[in-house]
Amino acid sequence: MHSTFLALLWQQWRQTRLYLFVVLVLVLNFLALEMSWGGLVEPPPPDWPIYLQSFLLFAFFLILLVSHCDPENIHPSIPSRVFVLPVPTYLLVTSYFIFRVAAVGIVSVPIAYNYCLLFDRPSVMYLLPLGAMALMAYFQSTFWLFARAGAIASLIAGCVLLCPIAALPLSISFTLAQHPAWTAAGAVVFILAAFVVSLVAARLERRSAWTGAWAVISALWDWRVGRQKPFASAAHAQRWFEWKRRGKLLPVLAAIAFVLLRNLPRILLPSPMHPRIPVYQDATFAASCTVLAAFVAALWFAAQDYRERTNGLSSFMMSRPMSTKNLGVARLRVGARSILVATAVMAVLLILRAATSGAFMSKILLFDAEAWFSVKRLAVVAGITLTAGLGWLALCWSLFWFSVPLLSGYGLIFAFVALVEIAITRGFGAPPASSPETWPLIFAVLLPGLIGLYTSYQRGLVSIRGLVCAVVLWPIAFLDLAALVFLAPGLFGPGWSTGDLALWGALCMLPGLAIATVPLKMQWLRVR
Amino acid sequence: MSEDSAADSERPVVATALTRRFGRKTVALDNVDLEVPRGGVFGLVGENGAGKTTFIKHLLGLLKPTAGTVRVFGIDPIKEPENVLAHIGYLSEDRDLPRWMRVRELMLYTQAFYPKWDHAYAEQLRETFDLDPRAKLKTLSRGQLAQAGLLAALAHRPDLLLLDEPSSGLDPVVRRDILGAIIRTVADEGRTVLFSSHLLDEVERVADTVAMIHQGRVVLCGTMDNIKGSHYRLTLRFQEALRSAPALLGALSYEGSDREWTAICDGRLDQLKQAAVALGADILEESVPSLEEIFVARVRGARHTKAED
Repeated sequence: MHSTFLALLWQQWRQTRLYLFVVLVLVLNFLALEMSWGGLVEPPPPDWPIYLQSFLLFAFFLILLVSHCDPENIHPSIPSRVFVLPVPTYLLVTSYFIFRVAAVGIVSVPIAYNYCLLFDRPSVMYLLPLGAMALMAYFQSTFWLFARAGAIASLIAGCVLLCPIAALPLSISFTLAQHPAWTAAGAVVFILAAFVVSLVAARLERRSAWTGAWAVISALWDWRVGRQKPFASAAHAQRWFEWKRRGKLLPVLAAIAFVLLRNLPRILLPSPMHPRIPVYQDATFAASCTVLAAFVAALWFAAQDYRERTNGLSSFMMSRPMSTKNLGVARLRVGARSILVATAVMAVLLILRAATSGAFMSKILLFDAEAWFSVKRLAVVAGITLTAGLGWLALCWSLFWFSVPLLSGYGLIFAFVALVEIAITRGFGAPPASSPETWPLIFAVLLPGLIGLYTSYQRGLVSIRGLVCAVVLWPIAFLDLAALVFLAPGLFGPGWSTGDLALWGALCMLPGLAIATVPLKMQWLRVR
Repeated sequence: MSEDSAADSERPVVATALTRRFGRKTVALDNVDLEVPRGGVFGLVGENGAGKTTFIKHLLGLLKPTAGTVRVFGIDPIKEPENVLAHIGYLSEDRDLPRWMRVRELMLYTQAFYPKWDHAYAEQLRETFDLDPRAKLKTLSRGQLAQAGLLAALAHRPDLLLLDEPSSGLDPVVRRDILGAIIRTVADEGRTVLFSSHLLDEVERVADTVAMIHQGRVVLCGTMDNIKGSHYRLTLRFQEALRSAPALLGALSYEGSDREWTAICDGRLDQLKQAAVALGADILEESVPSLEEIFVARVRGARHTKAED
């Protein structure tokens, strides 16, 4: 390349080509929907495409926003170059900035459209994209100017500013009296409590001091001192290591995702019986799960150094005098513990939500034997339980193994949880598989996998072993999808519910998961 | 392996016909035979990409030989990594310490793995390096990071200390005074230090035994005294100008032109002198070359031989 301009042009293209492609696809998709529905004048009744689109755009929007929240994603040479470059090049660099801001705006338009339909508030259509763009511009400029410190400061400031900015123009009436306010408050308290408990447990675990509730109180008192005490054993040290490294991640992200995405519509919508609530919540649930999976995956990738291709085990860790098996077990245990905490959060939220439904509570309280002990439902429950167990196992293996199956594993787990939620809250006589809520679930499985595959390719992770893992786990996802989308409705007719499909999906997942969880030669991880 | 047997082993490291390939084309180590004697400082020198780090990773059991064997304290590190690693302190070239840890946490974490961890020594090292125990590793400079890694590698008083480019990132004062002193102390206590470096003056200053690796092959191995005692720099003057370098027996490399040539030679001095006289040259100067000069001469010689092949 003979000029700075061309070099920078090439650099910008390499950095933004993926975003550009995705944004183009989304814009085309949006235009097509606009044409088919006749624009915004007479919005159609909510149907699956709008939720699918909402889900995709929302996931992309969040990923885009968060991926830019790391100042390391910005090429370090750009800010310093900006001040010395000629005008055309300066404009080019600036256009890069503008492009990112505009991308956020474009992506947020259809989301705003969906909110507009759901909340019947036209002002959202204009305010949301503008607010998103302003926030993006603010974040981006602050990151550039002040790097990490600026990022933290701007995130805090942004969060503080966003709430009133969003609330005022929307004229939101927090009619909590109409809703079970304790649901939202209880969820928040529970999430915080779960996180604190898991944190304290991990701190106690390091010196084998986990003896019960009193230990928790002591640990809270002894917070600072506990940091200075030696570990009880190498195994405790390694578990602490794994916990500190990424064990906290899942509970935190689960908490954030659920508080923001699950309870927001519950608070915002004027009536708890609003007909659009269930479908919307299913869509946001799947979206939040996908985003959550993507966050975890992104952070996982960021934490790795694949130059050595040591499968996440750095030479620092590999030179510990501990068997590979025990290193793996430490990761496995912490991974499982994290997932359990996150799942506990999910479970309590599901129960809290279901508790607001009189039908569910009556089933529990009145012990409806006919409802609970039919063979079909028992089979569903057994299938779900089995899938959950194997899913956790697969997930833990994924944490220990490779990131491609990690993503598929997360996708499957969350899709499964979503299915459980639908099965519980709707009952087992709910709409059949071809109903709108199935589609977001499908993408909850697919999208993380696709992102994972792309990122794996980018990072040069696709090796023979990675492909073997992917080949083992991807068919599981596809089998599950095939069951959900094609087989079940065709085989069993329209009378089959989502709960039944969950069972079918679980059955389809079993062989693949069984293969995936076969103990592989541990030494492969340590020795190349 | 018992601690006694580890301590009794006179050859902590034995590599026999060690070959390691990455893919089909890249040969990182080619039929390497090396023995590291106990209780001394063993310097592994070579240019970047010569295979030094690959060799060290084989000792840790992180890489599996394509052919040949590696034994550390008589044990195969692939089969029994725990037993081998328990006796090794290791500082990696890329200082891949977990950056989220604090210095204090790094010490506590590492301590948990080594029963022989010497807390007082660890604190002494920390104070020598002036490391703040509350500082996160990610806030440390590259040199401080190397010091933190060195602390973690040293404080359990390992029988074998593996240092991969330990000088990288350290300032000259720390490198010369502290690192050198530490390495000597470890060796004087009867333990073994194997360190790789491309800073040959440093190796020359500290090492007792040296192995030179070039393109995966050991081109020279011996004690420092033997190496220095068997290499000479001879400056020769011929009666007539020569178009090309003279064919002096034992010469590894030449510099010069016309009538005056300086050769780095390997052999006995009296034989080298006889050979020079036989070529019709007068010996203007004879001296002992530095390790760097020997290394460069060896590498050039190896390249020359390879080109001829």
